[in-house]
Amino acid sequence: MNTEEILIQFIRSELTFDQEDANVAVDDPLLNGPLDSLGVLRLVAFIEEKFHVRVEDEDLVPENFQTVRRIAEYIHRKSAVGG
Amino acid sequence: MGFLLHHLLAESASRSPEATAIKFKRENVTYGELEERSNQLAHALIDVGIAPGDRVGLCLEKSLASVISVFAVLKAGACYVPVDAHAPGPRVADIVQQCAMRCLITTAAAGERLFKTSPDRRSLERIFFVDDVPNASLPYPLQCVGLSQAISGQSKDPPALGGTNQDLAYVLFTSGSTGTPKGVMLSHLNALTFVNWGYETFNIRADDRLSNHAPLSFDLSVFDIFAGVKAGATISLVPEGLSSFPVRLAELLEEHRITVWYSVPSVLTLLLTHGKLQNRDLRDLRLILFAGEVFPVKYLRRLMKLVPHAKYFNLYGPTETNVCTYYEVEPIPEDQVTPIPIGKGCANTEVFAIDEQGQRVIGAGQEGLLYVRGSTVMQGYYARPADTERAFIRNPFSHGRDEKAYCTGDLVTLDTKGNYHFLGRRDHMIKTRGYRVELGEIESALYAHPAIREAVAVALPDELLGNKIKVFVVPEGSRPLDEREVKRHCARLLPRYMIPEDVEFRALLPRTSTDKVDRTRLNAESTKAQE
Repeated sequence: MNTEEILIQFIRSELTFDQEDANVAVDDPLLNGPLDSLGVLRLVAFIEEKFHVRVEDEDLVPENFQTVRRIAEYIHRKSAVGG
Repeated sequence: MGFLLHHLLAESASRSPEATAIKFKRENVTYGELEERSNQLAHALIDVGIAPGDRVGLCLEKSLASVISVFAVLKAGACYVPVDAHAPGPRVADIVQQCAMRCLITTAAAGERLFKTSPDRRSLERIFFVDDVPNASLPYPLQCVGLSQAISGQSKDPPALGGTNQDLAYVLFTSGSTGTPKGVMLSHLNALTFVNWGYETFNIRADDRLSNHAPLSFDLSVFDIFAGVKAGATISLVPEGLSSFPVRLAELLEEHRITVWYSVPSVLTLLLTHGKLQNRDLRDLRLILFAGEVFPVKYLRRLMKLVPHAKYFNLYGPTETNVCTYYEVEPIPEDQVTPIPIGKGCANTEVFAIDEQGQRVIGAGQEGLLYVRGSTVMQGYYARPADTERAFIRNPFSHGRDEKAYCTGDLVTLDTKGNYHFLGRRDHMIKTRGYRVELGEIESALYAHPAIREAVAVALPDELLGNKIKVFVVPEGSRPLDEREVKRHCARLLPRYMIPEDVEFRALLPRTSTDKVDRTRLNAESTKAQE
């Protein structure tokens, strides 16, 4: 599975509960739905553990978490510079 | 001399029409504009038949439209009923039904979620949409109108209505132990008692810049909006979700040069631990107020060191009374682990505690249940006379006059300086992230699932959240049931903050000698498992 697929699976199984939200596409807006403040914290914990990157406080901004694609791009950038 | 909440706006608009009233993202609204637009919307509401005393729902995210709507509803003589914009359809429908709501102001997305549920909504005649009117076909006769269409052409002068400060200003729904939320009715006088106290005690002035973090459904917003408007100050609405991004939240504090902040402690803790506050110029932040849950001392101490020039106040009070006690926090000794006090009664409010023997708590160390008396106390629960009656006692210290005092249900004790300290609750109401949650409401939701035979919800203390929710579920029959399905089921009926974090399946629940579920044991087992 690629990064986006891993993220989608996590969001679907851990962060969304409505049937409607269950189909999360890479470009779907996350911030007004599946990701509330608790969801973001959980997602960050998952990202740090799964992808071995450290999410700095400065990185915790809406632009990096708007969609699955954006999160994946963020993870790749962080991994490229050595986490 | 104003005696209704919207008079505060009229007076400030008359004094300083060009001053900025509300800021939201990149938009500003002056006092003059806020006054005019709310007048126009008020006329639109009156035109469609909203009459004094009606309940108008506001199911909106933070926005200029939400604040304009608050004042418009009040000016129409009606009371506003805030509903969480992301609440599931059945919960919105339940609130609509309970308070016989005639009109709702909302967004297309929330409206569509509501249309998908099917309970009785006969009272609802009209929905105003702040964005687009949705295309969904409606299951019953309902007029849908776009807000800008409704406002255009309306008079910018205030409606000429009477009204008294005994009239309801808003109804706030809070978690109910038997499964459905309860609507707390607050009058203009209730609100103004609190607003005036806040305005005086904290010396709110026209050059203040208050943040508004709390949603309208939280009574903290009453301070932000109405004390702010009373002073002619600027109120910065914090966009929803910004709490998830503490660095951005800290940026807003700095950029908007916030002078007064009021929120639940867990947001402040997140700002402290992840907001990089040390990089911010917060010299203008003169006041940090917090309420709604216990602020862990170790985080409060750190925050006070990081922003040492601000004054810190712990405010306490249930939705039924708004703030009734307060305490100015002194620098906290390094070795202190006990929580800070909830303090002493606000001016124009009386609080007292009664112990198990029916005696008043007067000495340090004595414990009792806390009661509140005064014009800050609610009018009652909407259409729930039995619950309302249970919430009040005849004031035992009233010298013959028949007056009532509200029972908070909170256990308190007094210290040697006359400050009250919060000890805990006797019932199953808990706080999580500052939200009030009746464990019974979660249990009721679980019982609604056909494959759940028995369910118990417990609260596990959590440093950041206050409490986490764990449920024990005994499945019925052989239908497959997993944790995901249980959470999904809860999400269909309950707001997000009530969805349990943990689900444990049991074949049997431990019982006490009287055959009730042994909650104490489940609590102990869960706490041990956490360690």
